[in-house]
Amino acid sequence: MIILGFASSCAEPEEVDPKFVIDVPSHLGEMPVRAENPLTLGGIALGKKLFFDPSLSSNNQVSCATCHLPSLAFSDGVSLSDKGVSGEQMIRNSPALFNLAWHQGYFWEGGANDLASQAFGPLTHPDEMGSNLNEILEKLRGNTEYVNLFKENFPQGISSQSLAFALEQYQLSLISAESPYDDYITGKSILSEEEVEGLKIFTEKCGSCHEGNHFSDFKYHRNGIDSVWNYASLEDARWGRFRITFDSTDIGKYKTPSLRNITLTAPYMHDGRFQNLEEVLTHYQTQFSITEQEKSRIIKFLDTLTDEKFIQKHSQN
Amino acid sequence: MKKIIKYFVIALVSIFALTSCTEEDVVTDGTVVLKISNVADDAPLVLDKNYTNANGDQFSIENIKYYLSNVTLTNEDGTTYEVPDSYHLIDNISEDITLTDIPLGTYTDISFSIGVDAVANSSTAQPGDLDPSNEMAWNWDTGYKFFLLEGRYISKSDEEGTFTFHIGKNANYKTLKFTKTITIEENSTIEYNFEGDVQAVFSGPNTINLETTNSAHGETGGDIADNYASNFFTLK
Repeated sequence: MIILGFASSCAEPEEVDPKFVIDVPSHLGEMPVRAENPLTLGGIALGKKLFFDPSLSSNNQVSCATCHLPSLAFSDGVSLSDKGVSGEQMIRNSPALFNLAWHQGYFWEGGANDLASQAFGPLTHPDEMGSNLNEILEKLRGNTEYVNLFKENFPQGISSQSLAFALEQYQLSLISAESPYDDYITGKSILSEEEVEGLKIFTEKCGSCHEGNHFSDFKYHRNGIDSVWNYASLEDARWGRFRITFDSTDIGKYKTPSLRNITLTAPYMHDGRFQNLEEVLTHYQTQFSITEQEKSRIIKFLDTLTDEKFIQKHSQN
Repeated sequence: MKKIIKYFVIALVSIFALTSCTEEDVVTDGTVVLKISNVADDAPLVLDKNYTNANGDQFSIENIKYYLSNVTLTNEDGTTYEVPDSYHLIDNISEDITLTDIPLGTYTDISFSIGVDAVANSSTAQPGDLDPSNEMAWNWDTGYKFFLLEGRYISKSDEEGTFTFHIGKNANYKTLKFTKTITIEENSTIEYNFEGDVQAVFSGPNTINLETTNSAHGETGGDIADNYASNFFTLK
């Protein structure tokens, strides 16, 4: 005991709360760990506060949640939002946010390697939150509550890194795994005959990309919705994955979205061109054979992926 | 016997606890200063001044910024000392990089890289000179601009325009090595004077014609990266 006391007297005591491990049901697979930014309860709570705070935007009116609404599984219900600080229309549909630790890249074309690096995109994009990082840090430093929360949760206090780390922790904590499908797959309840039949058809027709219990392979595919790409700049966002890899086979490819909560995340595709699942499947009828009856069964099944508990949990307060 | 082992362990732990507290007694090592100056036509670079490049285009520089990283010293015995956490943003015409706690010894070579190594380049949520508030990070394609040069030109055929070179991506991370023997003694400070010649960005292996190459980003900047790798820095 004496020795312990002695040893700790020269250690640096200033450490944050113990690492927090999120309880993830085994059918999602082990949650990949972000070693550089271990989750803590305090870090997640700070990230949540920041996610909903419009003062991170240049005009103090736009927060992350402006385009990522908890009630819509953190999507926004429109094809292309114009709710950013400039009022200009975006060129991408706001992606839903859940089970993000399993993704291998962020943004539709997967250019961001981790959610912390990704966060600087929307924070600074002139059509999204339009901020300058130094302006954000100055605002945060002028707010005693934030000063204390950052100090409690990140050794370096307020910085670009801790801002991004907190936002990353909150987003990584968003786990959706309590839909009727999850209850079915874990043996807690059953699905209707039509839903089970829909699952079977879905797995056969759609499961090669929307695979496993994440309903995504997290890879990049060209799904036939476009056939011509000729943009002057190699950096044009409409090139898709090509803009990241400069590999010509990646032209027009986008990340397979998870289909969890899919009934809440319309419109669909990277540019929100399809208003409902009917339209999506009508497109896929041009790519492979799906009968009208199969189509309606698939849609019935997809409805079982809606996780009301997830929505309720994150919509409160 | 169990008791003896227990006491032995306690003794070991207390020795460890004691020694872990004595860091302040370590002998102070030497200091190395890298004095970096950006030049053009053998004089300090003047922003917005007109120069003529190897292709015969007139150009002026509005903004020059680059990362110099991973400074490594080679000891005469062949071992190397890698400066830890060595990422330095050069965003002034002249700048000093002060490296402290360099182990004493005689060194024959110094090397460093232009850019940011693949590991550090894989995430932009980083502190210090790698902080993205320095506006050297890409947001949609995680990574850093290694070498940024922006300015105006009037080409040989009198075409006027602006040029933007934002060179990054792992392939354009270039390591340079310079030979000079120095001895670092206790509390000594050794200076290296490096000149970065902006003209060299436009020539070397690849002569840059600003009329045809006035926008180079990420993957398309290979020719310019080969130029800065071959002849940008000179050790004076």
